[in-house]
Amino acid sequence: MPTLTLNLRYLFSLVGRELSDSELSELLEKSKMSLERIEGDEIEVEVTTDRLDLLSEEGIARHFKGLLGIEEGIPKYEVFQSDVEGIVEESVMSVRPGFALGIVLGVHLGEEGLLSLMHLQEKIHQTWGRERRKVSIGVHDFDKLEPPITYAGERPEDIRFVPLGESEIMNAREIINRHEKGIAYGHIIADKPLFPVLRDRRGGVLSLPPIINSEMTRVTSETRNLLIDVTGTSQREVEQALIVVATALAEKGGKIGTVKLKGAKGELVTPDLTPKVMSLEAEYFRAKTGLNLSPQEIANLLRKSRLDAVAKQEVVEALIPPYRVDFLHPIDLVEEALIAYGYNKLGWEIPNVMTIGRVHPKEKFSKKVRLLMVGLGYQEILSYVMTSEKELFDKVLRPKKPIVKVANPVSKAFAVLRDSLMPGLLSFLSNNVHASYPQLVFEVGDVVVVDESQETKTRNERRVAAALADDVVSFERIQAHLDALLRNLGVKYGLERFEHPTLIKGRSAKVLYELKSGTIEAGYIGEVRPEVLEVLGLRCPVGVFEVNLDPLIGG
Amino acid sequence: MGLKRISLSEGEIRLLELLAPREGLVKVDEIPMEKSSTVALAHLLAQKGILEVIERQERFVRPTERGVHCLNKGLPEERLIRVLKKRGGRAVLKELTKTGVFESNTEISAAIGEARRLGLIEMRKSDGETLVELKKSPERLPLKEVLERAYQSAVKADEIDPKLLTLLKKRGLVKEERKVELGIRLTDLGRKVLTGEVKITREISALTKELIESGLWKEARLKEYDIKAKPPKVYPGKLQMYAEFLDEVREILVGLGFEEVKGPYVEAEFWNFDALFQPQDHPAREIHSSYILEYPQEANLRDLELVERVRRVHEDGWITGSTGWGYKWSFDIARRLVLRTQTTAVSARTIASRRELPLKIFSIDHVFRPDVLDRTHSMDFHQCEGVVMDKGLNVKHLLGFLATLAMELGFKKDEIRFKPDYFPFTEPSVETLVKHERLGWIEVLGAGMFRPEVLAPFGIDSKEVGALAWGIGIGRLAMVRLGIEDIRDLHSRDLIFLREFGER
Repeated sequence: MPTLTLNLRYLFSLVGRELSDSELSELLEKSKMSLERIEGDEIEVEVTTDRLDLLSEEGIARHFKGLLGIEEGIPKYEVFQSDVEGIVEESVMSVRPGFALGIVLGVHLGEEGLLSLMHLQEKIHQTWGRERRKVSIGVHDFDKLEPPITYAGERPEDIRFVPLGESEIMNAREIINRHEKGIAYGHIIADKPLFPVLRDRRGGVLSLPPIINSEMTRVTSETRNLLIDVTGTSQREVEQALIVVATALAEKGGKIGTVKLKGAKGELVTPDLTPKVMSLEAEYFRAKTGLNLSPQEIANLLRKSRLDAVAKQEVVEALIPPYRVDFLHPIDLVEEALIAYGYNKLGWEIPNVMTIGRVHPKEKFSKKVRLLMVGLGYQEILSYVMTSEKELFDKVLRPKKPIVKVANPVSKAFAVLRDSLMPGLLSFLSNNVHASYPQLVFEVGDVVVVDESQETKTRNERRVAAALADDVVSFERIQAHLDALLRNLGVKYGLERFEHPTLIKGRSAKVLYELKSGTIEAGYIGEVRPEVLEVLGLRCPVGVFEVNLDPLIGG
Repeated sequence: MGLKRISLSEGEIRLLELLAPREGLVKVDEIPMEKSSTVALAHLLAQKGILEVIERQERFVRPTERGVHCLNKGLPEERLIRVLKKRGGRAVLKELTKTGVFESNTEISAAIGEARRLGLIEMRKSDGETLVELKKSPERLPLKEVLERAYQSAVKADEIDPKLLTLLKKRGLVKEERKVELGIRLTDLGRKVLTGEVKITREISALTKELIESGLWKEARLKEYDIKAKPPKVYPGKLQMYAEFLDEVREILVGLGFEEVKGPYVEAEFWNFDALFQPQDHPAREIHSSYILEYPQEANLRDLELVERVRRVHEDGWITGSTGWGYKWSFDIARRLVLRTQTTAVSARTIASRRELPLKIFSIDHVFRPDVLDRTHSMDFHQCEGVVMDKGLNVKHLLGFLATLAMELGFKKDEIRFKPDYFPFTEPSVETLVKHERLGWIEVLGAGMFRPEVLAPFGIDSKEVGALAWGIGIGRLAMVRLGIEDIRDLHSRDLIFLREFGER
């Protein structure tokens, strides 16, 4: 979840008054923000991923004013149709097709406002923008450019300008190879034959999205009139990001001007600030919340969330501000009203749902196995299901075979899923050579085996494995334990001589369950080869067994 | 003369038998029995007047650290002679300090003193300088011989020439250690016991099957135990503490009427995300938030009609009244295999396969997310999640249920509260906070009502049916409960830690 640093002074000045600590924490809670840190005038908060509109102090103040009753209903922004035009060339459509422009005039940014704007841009880039891949935003000094604005794809060598913060002209190829921002974000466009570029009427470069703006249109705390460009992969998200930025600026008194887009995308006016209309049946609200409110009361709650809402008989007609992108279904209106009402005022009702509880048969059976193993003196251990091929195969001399393998491991030690419990037990023993012997350990858990017949091409298999290490360990001793376990589980079984790469030849056996349905292979038992003990640094003999429990578990 | 019968333990009798063939004072070391038992038994027999224990102090000589050092490097006088030989038999006294052979002027004085005492060198003045001249090479250095003997094994002080010993001690090359030697000697009574003139009663330490069966126990005396002595440490077989905690949670949930369900660790994105209305470009689906697989890669999705309904819901909301996410949904992404990131996937599978209401299910199992394993993060951890689904359930029921569960988990009724939260598949969503005496308000139960977009493809009308979905931060709760501060300890690889966990 995105983390934001907020300046409290600035936030209070936008809200119009100071907030006490308890007011602040209640407001944060009602906005689904959690307070992470307070340091003087600065606080750090976490915002949920669905609330793009809360990524700036301006947006937060707007929402708080509603909840505090200072300013309710949909915010009224001054919007006018500007005569600025944007021309989209066909050449950019295969590069970065999402595009929107907007202007905001008469803003008093100041240092705090400028900082807030930069933070907002950055947070949208990181979250919604997926590190600028999906959405990226550029803000320009409107007075330093001449409309119309052209958005086109051009050869990188032909795009030449002074990047923001630099003093020399560079071409786009040089920028992605050498410039700090180019190195960070160049990969998004690097493999395209043409790069996206924004130019004004004179051909001056405004921006090389999604990488960097030009020095020409630099914005300072003194800048009064702004042009905002948003580019990206999806038109819907691009337009939503524009609305969020433009309305945040309008909170500081700016007038929003729409821009007419022409060309390859057809005719389009951005930003489109028309509120979304959604209606909520009061009965639906009551059924979902258990709260008996009238349509008017529901409408009043919604107005606190900066929605416009009117009650028409049993229906609440809501107008959702365009910056709120998190309303998909009337259920979202239900939650919004409920939050304004207060979760802790709602009261509880214990649901009277009569059902019979049951532990899963696998767990029930496993518990029986675990208690028998404990009775035999074994310590239970719990390993990770994720492990490494080295531990699973190399260290215990098993030849590799196809197992579930992760494509993006964070660490080599956890890159596959175990297909056997025994290697984990042996590695556990090798970690504990300093502890007193005898050491008896066991684990009951799932391994994952490849099984093409399953929907997920794999199957979880419940197994038990045990290892016994002592000065002297005989096959008979470990066998006695397996025998005790299986006898008490009511299983008839047989052993058959076989070879296992981890076990001593002639001292290892296959375990066969003799079930009513027939004899099936269930696992193995034996003494661990000294070669394996040496690899693991174990200085005393070890006996092991591992058997599948699934055939014994009634479904 | 009627002598009292003396009771003796088997050990005491064995020691007596070992002493029988020996005359006079016998050193404890010479008795073929473990020394500590010999001493203990000897003292017991002495108390009974059967033998005498005689302590004798012996002085031993051992080299000091400096002594060992000199053995390695040579005694100062040895080194002096080596230097003189190298320089043709003489050297100016002042220059000896510059040779680097001596560590201090004290060493030089000691070397000269000893060499003169042995008549190996002479000193004379010449041109205002003091010259040191070698007179003869020593055949042997008695000091060194003693030092070497003492180094190889402790030598008794009275076996060394007292003059040499004084000198060695003065030069700090050896030190004396005192050692007590024990000797034992049979008394008259002891001899009488051995000859049988004095009768004994056997005192036994273990009551055995043979003694009981033969009736010999009647003549035996059971030795008293030292009940204060520490027993040997044994470790019982034990359930692992985290596994035991998970069992307790299972028990609570079963008590509340929940049925446990399971699903596979390797899961199709369809069940892990799509069926839960998480859009395909949701950050949780990116490679830094979920493990994708190198092998195997693609699921064989079975219920293609369900898949189609889910596609519609994502794209335009289908019949739900939702706008959907408004993007082109991809089947190839949906059938990609991942390690499941949430047990909600199990809930989705269960709801899809069960039609009957009411339904109360839970699962406790492993989930996986790409993370570095450290004190607070793990790539492989447990989730505990469940669903209550029935006609007419609403948010009040959700809160009532959450409060009940929190109370069952041991938190107090008036120390539970709720706050709004966000989960992609529930609306409204809520987080449950409880007050912990040390940690303050902590989040323990995230929950919400499944969204209409989640339920509709399963054929469930969310206008009629409410599905309360909840999840416990089970690992964190276990840590709080078990007093564990490092998340890795929940899967501890340390046998001593596991054996001793819960011991106080």
